[in-house]
Amino acid sequence: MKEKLSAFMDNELGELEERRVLAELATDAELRVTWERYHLVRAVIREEGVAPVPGLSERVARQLPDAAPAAAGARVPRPLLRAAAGLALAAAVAAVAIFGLQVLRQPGQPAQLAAGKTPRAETARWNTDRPEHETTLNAYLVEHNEFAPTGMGGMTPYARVVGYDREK
Amino acid sequence: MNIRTGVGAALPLVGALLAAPAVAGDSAHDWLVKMDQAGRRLNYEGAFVYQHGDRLEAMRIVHKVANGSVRERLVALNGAAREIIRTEREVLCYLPDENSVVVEHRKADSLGFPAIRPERLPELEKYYQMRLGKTGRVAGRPAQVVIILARDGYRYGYRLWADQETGLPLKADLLADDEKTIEQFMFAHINIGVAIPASALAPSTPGKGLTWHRERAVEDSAAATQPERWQAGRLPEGFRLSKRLVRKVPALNKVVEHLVYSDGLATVSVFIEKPEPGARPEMLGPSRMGAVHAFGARVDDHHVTAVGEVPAATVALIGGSMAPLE
Repeated sequence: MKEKLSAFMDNELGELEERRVLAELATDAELRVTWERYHLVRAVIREEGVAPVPGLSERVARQLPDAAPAAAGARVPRPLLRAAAGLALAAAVAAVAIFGLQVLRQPGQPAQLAAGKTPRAETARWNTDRPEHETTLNAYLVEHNEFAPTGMGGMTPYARVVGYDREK
Repeated sequence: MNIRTGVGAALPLVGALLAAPAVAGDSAHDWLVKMDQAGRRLNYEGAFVYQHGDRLEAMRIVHKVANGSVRERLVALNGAAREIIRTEREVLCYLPDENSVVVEHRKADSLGFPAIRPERLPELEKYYQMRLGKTGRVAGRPAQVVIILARDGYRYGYRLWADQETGLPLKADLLADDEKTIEQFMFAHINIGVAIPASALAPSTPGKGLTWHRERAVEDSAAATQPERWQAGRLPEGFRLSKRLVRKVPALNKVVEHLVYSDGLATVSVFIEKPEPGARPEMLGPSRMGAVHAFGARVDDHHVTAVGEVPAATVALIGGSMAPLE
């Protein structure tokens, strides 16, 4: 299914297959999470300032009950992706891996819309209600850890990489 | 101490030669030196748990030292079988559940995870009280407890269990000033000083078929455009500037001045940026994530953010006192 998802994101599926994927996305929360990640990773890889496949979210949203009214908000928020746009890929992806995808947990994100569910339990998070602050703090923490010679922090980033998002 | 000990000490272990055996009568100071050395000399493999916040991670670690350089592999034992292969040059994250491998370069500064620097030990004792605790047992091995308590509220303390035989840190607790444990790292089992075949360091996930994401070389050339230089007006006792650089933060695509202050054990980073006109307001005041605290402040038309694995008061003091140099 993941290969299909990937092809779907590239608009390489036929109509029938596409419908299957959409149906699958509508019912499989885990698949939706994968899909979100693909989006982020690709956006970063391609250094695109907007959602990599414009309209994809809407396409999916249309298929999902309850999601239609919010379809316009389903796109990954622009400022966040723009922030991600110019960056060195690995650093970004690693930061995402380390800190557990907060970037995608913004209001209006597809998974919440689609599922109408509470987001999964979080990995450790900053106690701020401003997502953009969290993004900044995470980035700074990654930089900081490079230079902190001592501390549990030395292992923390690695532990978070291998451990993130486990409780979904 | 290597408290990177967590993984630090534990991580940077070096293999092959056994460290000098510990001797009864060694001081806390001696034990810290021993822990540091063990980390640089010993091969080991085992499994550890790491508890932070309300999370508990279990990982397998294989650590080999050959020709003076360390190669290490971490494998998640729960959930997705993510792996990290760490060499002195790069960090490879295998994320099979993402069909991805992420490769990051390590910066020169981070080579070797130096953990505690023995030469700063005497000085450290001004800010930390160090003493031997009882002996105990961790991962089935006799261990010596070494306790490091901050003498003021500006840094955390540590409780360390060093392997009696080799000095390798087997367990580490990060302590708040009331001596409550904030985070813990502990080996559940470990084999020290064993031969490690190259195959044990190979990822179990074949890289073939996965998407590889490679970080581009980081340009810190932005340093040429270095605008102003900043400094902390107030520092907790013992903290001093250990590094100053101007760099582009990849994840933010911003150029910032990055100052690193350290007391030899605790480290605080301060980032100074000049926000674009019309940019969103940056974080003001305190924030925290587990044992890590941050503090944001506005100074003239610059934004200052202090971050570190230290108590809130430390980042507030440092971050709140930043000012441009003359």
